[in-house]
Amino acid sequence: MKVDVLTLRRAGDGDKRLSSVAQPLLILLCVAGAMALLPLVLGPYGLRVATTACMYLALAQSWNLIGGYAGLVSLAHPAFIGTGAVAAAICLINGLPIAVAALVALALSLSIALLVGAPTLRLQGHYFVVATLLVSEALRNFVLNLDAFGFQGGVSVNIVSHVGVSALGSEAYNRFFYHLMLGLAIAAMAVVLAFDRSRWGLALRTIRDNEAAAAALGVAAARLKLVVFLLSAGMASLIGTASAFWIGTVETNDAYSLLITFEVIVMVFLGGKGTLWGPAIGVGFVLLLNEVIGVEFAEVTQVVSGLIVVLIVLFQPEGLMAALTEGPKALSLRRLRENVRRYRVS
Amino acid sequence: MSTALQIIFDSLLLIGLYAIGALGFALIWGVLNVLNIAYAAFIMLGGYCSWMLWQLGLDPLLALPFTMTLMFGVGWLVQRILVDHVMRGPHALGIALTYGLNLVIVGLALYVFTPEFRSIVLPDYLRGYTEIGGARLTNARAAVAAMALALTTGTWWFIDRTEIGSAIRATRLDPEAARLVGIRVRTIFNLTTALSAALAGAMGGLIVVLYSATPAMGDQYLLQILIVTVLGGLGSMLGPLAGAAVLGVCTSAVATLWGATYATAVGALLVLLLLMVRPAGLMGKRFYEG
Amino acid sequence: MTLLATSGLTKRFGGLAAVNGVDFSAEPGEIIGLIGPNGAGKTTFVDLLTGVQLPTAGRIKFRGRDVTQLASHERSRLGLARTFQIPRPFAGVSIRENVMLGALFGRAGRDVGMAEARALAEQALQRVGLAGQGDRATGTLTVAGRKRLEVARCLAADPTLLFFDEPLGGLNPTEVKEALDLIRALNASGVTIVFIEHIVSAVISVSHRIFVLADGRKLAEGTPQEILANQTVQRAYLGDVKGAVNRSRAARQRRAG
Repeated sequence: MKVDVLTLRRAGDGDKRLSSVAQPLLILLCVAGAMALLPLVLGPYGLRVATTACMYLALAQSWNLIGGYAGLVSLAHPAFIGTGAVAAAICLINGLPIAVAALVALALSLSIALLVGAPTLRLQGHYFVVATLLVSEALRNFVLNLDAFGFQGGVSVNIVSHVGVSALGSEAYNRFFYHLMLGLAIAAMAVVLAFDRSRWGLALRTIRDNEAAAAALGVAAARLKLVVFLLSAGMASLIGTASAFWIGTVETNDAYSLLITFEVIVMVFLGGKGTLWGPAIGVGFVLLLNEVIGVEFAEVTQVVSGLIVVLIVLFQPEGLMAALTEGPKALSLRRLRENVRRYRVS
Repeated sequence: MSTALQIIFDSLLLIGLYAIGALGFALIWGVLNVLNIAYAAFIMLGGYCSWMLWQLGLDPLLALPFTMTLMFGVGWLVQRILVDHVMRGPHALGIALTYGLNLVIVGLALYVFTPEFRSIVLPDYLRGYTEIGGARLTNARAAVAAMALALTTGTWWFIDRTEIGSAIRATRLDPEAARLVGIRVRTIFNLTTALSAALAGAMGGLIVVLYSATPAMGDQYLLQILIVTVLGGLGSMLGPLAGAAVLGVCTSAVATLWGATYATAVGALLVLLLLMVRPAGLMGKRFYEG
Repeated sequence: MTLLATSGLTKRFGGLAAVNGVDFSAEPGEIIGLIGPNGAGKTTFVDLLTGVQLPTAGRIKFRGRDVTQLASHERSRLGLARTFQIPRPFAGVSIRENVMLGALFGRAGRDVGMAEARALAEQALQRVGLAGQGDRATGTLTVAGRKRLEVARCLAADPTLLFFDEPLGGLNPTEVKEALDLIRALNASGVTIVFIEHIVSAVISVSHRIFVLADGRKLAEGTPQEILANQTVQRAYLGDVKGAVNRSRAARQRRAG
């Protein structure tokens, strides 16, 4: 089975990949089952890290859809995460039940996505990136100055009492939110899995290469990109809402923070964008690194993160996933040298 | 009348700074098609460089040429060693690479300089102001505006009137064709990034004169630079100036009339609307796709 | 019923009319050759017909239905397909996946499941002579192979009318012959074909009818024999041959005399 390094690393797998949902689904369910039992062995700190990991994984997969599969570097994610958090908080402090709050936030995020999605998706290359960034920043600035429905943008909002789980003891509280985040992460993985194996996953991969040719073959490219954008936005919103419930306070600048989205993007790139397991690898790697370095050398965390990004981009742009699918020879010196030369100015 | 004039004078500072910053940023975007996030780090390095030269006794405005020369070298190296390797790849790689580089440089600066604000003492000739038409124009603002004009003119002259400049323009239009007529494209890329870094350094050097230097200073300005660049459009030297003028006046006006807090949202919305209607920006050439 | 008809089709870019008031028609079962000097507007014309560009004026009717403003992907679903001058296969997916795209999205009428799409892709690959290569990456294909992949992609979409944009460019004589055989075989199975080509002998040998474009306008139309004999066509391609011959003869006489 020939594998052409430059064009398609998994050429041989191509066919199997399209049909078999069963295998990865099984793996996913097993992992889910195992992870559900984690609270039995982890202390409160460990549980919190695990919850954070699940949250990041869910976010990573939501970005993976638009940034990995559709190939569009969207910086609009903060807008949806933030709206998920803030809108839900506003609903809660006005007495609405949590399910309704989550749905209202979702509806609002989707409306925003629909409004900005259609025009921005038409923009080419870097203009799309900048436009989505502007959306996030404009929204953040707007919400910061908001003063309505008992919510003031400049002030932190405490919603712990409204969430309604404060009656639980701290252990049960941690476990509840761990399972919630785990559920969201598994759901996100399932969505990406279904997508990856479907005709739309295939269509997206072809749009990335040559949109005009794909359209000539019947793919409604603009519509597909918008749907993916909406899906991604909706997922981000739900995760934003869940995070807000978990943390208990909503602070506008944190909710709409670009930094979290940048971290997520790095995780997706590192693991392998446009793949099912890539983001999981990326999340695991980055959080592990943070645990190891972040505690000891807090000042250099930023430098190390940046260094990792630079090294990955130069030497392994497909992400660590490539090493997994092809085995250790993907990390051989010769391959690394090839990779670094691949995109050079000739 | 005097309110309007005051708005304009107040905005002169921002216009000047953003014009310089956007000019450099637009150069890399326009010629290399790279969204250089590390530009923020270049601004910051320029600021610290000027500050250190001032500490050694040099007048801050005189320090600018030295800062720019140093940053020229830095930009050349960055291009040659790093960005060169992602030029033919998907544009997301360029963004990711420069993002990582920015993290590294700013992180190192945090470590070396600490987050403490470093400022210089304003030299005497920059203090004081003149009254024109009932509005106050500080000398510092006038100086910055003058520098911005000088740098824009200088860059325009270089790009438009010299042979190397036309090589840069040719590369911008069509790198393949440029190569065919004998232009060494890689060298042009190195030169462009170097120029861009020099301009960023100038912006940083001017910021430190009026405000102060801190590791995050470049990051703060990056969003506004993006806005100005997109507003003004790529492909024209006047674009950044036009974009800066529009954004500067609008921001000042909004701040004066409704309070500074909504300024960002207004600026962002303005650009978004513009992008929908005219993706090339105010003065951008439509044939070039970002 | 006429399969495809255009009336007054025009495309302007600023002051330049790349396609200028063209009336064209294709009957079911025909093979029509579209020829003309460089810059005549042939590719733009096909772009207009397939929805890659929208016309400035004029109408296009496919099977009696007005499709002038329809998007590219919708025309594909109606049965219009095209290949591109420079084939660019989708590099990120395998050869079979390339073809499956046409089966999954381009077919008129019913939607096809993944398994069926795979079978249809296999059939299409067989018809163009790429059987058994489905799992490979597109980078392994030669120029001729890539052109065949383009055709297979279109075939999987079960087209009624297929546009070829310079299918023979870059092929050696054997490959040209194979390509022409493929065109004839496709036509025999019921696909109407319109193809742009520069190799005049190939166009003559395979077309039922030839349509000549020059400077965005229709220059001539007719059977291969009629077009070969047509003086206006000759002048458009070769310039004023008779006049040039006369002038050089006169110059030679003057030098001798």
